[in-house]
Amino acid sequence: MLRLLLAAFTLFAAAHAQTGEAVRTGHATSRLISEQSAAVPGETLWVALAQELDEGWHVYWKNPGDSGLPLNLGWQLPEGFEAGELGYPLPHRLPLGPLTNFGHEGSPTFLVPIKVPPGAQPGTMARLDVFAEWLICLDVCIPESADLSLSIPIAASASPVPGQTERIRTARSAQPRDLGLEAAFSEAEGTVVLRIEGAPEGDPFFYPAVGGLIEPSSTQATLREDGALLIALTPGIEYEFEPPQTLEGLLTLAMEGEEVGVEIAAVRSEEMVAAAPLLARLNAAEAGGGGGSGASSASLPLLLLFALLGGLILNAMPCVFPIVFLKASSIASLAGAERKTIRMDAYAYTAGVLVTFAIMAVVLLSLRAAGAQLGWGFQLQSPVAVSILALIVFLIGLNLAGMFEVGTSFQGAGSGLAQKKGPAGSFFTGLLAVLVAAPCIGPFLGAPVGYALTAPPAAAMAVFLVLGLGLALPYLLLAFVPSLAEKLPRPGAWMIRLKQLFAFAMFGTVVWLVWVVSLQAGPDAVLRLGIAFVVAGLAAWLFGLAQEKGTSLPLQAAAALALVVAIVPLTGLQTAAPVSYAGETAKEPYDETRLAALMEEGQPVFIDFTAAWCVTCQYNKRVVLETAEIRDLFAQTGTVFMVADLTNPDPIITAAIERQGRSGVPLYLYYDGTGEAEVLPQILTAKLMKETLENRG
Amino acid sequence: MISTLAASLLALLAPMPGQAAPEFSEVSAGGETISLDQFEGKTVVLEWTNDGCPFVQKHYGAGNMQALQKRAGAEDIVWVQVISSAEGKQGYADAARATELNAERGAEPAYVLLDADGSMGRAYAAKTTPHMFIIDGEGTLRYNGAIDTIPSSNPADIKRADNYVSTALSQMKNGGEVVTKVSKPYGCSVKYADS
Repeated sequence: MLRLLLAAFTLFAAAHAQTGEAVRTGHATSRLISEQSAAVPGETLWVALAQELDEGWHVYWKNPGDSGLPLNLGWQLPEGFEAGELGYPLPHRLPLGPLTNFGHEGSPTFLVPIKVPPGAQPGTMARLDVFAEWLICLDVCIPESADLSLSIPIAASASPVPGQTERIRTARSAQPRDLGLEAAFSEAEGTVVLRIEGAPEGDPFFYPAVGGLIEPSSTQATLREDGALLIALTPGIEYEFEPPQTLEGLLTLAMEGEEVGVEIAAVRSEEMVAAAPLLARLNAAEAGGGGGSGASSASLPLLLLFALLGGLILNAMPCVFPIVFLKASSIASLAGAERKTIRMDAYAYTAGVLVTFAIMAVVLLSLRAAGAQLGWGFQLQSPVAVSILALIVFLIGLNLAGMFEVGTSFQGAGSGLAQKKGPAGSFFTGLLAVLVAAPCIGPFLGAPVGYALTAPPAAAMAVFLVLGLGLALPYLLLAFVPSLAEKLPRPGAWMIRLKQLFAFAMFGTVVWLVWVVSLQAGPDAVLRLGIAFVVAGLAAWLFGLAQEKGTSLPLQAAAALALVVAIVPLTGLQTAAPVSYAGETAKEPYDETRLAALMEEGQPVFIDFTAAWCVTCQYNKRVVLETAEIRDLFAQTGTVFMVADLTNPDPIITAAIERQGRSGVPLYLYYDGTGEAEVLPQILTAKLMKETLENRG
Repeated sequence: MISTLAASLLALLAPMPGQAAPEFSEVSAGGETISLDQFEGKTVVLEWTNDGCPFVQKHYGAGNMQALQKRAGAEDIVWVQVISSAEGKQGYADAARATELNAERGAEPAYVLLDADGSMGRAYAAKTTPHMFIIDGEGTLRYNGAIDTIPSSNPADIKRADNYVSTALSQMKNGGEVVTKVSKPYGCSVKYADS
């Protein structure tokens, strides 16, 4: 009993230890929070000054812009403790008449890494004191300050603190990244042009690290050309007076309301970084305009060959299996049919595949041109799209099971023998094949699709179309090689049985899609989807009844109405908060700061870029990554397992994938401890994992 | 050329030391119209101010600004306060209020210019209060920037900071070049009318 009380007391004390007392100043509430429950000797403890600012008030970034002052922290730490560099959140522009400030509104989190000395005594408490001063402004400004303190136990191990850990990690993941981008600048005609090589996608803005060099309020015209991003800046008085040799700052890239920051250290170039005509275009362009893109140097014909092979191999990918079943059933129904019919069917299927690839490529490329950070397979990132796809596959299942018929059905429904899917049905099958296959990018597709996303639109379209051609190739062969078609078995009652059997493959796919929706949008979405299935089932039944009665308009109308009723509630589905990645192996979420720290320690790290909607990923997870053997392997080799989950859109993860020249999941990266990254094949094997993890060094 | 102008339209074009200081002609708290050319042969200091601004209060509260003004008066330097706060915004003052403020805090500028429309502030690209400019007897701008080296609102920092204005005035008095000609001004933003 006493021990229980003691344990409870310890827990209570611990729960309060990692949060400093909140101090209310005139227009802000400030407190110190810590990422972990304890300070571990020899490790870094991440703490933060967490502020809640009054509505409309702002504090300042390290370069406050035209006026204002940044946060100033004066630490008083126990012997041996050391506070590192203050990490500001990404700034925003705060215009005020003709002036502009750079600052933060709402709930900014200012990060500070604290080095805990190796000699810190576990069992004792460490008291972290800070005198914080900041200027807070609406349009009037008020200097505020607070003495903040945080007492934290020193212990050999630490655990996360609910709420705070997430806040600090979120803040850390939003910290600007050093991508090692090459940058140069020069000036001409009163304009500074900054040229950044290989800048990621997104709407750019450059925040100079120190004031006086660049005018904060001037608009920044931008242009992307030959893989470089050019930004026109207006020099500030200090620049005009004496151009600096280096220009450091933060490049923010915005997409879909999300933003990433990239550190820039540009060197002054003797030569112009932009030719005169380009400069004119830069100046003429509206800020944020410009949409050209660069392509890698890989040769197009070779990539097209890979795309064709990739498309062909896509037929053997787990995610396309259901469609292969569907296609197989339609081929079975063609058995014994005339050459002409078979050929017609193959053309229709190919057309379905190609048209769908083309449409998706156009949508994807135009969304990306508009600044959206999307990869291939993006359509399965929306729970609405996934649930509607699930509904369609469910209806196909019912169709195969015989509840209703589709297409040009002959007289005497139910005899089934003469049932033939018309060209429309084949076209539709092709469409479905692409939709489902898209996220399942096979080993041969990474390079071509990655290329396509940065290539000029015409080349990108060619890659996508050839990919589609590869996917449709087996069925085209049937049409062009008569001997193959002749080998098709004779039609008979077996066909109906086969179709009914394939219905189960469809229902299997439905189960997978429901699972994806459950991860994306939570249990409520599954309920809505379940109801949609019931209503859609009713619609299918009514439709079938109408077919039995010849044509019955009231029944068909009722069926159509039921279908609409089934779909409508799905359109309201929304992406839920990210779910934790369920699994047995101890895993960490993708965190680039943590990754950098692990690199420094020489820790080997394995990164799993995955998504719930990626079947190949799930395959690898079940077959390799989640096995006891591989779990032990990770433990023995001390390899850290990081999961970068792209189930819901994430610009940081998308950017990380693109840095490897890829466009989608799966992607497996292995860092051997020396900082060298190795891209592993997209299909993992236990043998490969063993070789990779054990032969490090 | 036109395109360059377009890119810089939103930003204020800061006057450069070494070049002619922008002309101005504004009504003072004393009711006279004051323009730059009437001070030919004399050094002129421009001080943008806003009595509600903590950074201005830092330098007046500690007597720092008054001391500089007093010294300027003694050396036949024309010290000009400029208030560019728009009507209704912090720091706005009519003639009576401006005079009263200086009496209260013992400030002794030669003139207070009432620039509620912000025209003079924009001509000089004045960004903060305080923001300091020094113009020599030939009408050439010699300094554009902060009052001192430590950007803070804490009066205790005044002693530790190097004062750019008094250093520049001393260098000019000795017939030399101003060493630090530009710096980044710090303080509250000038409360211009919303544009």
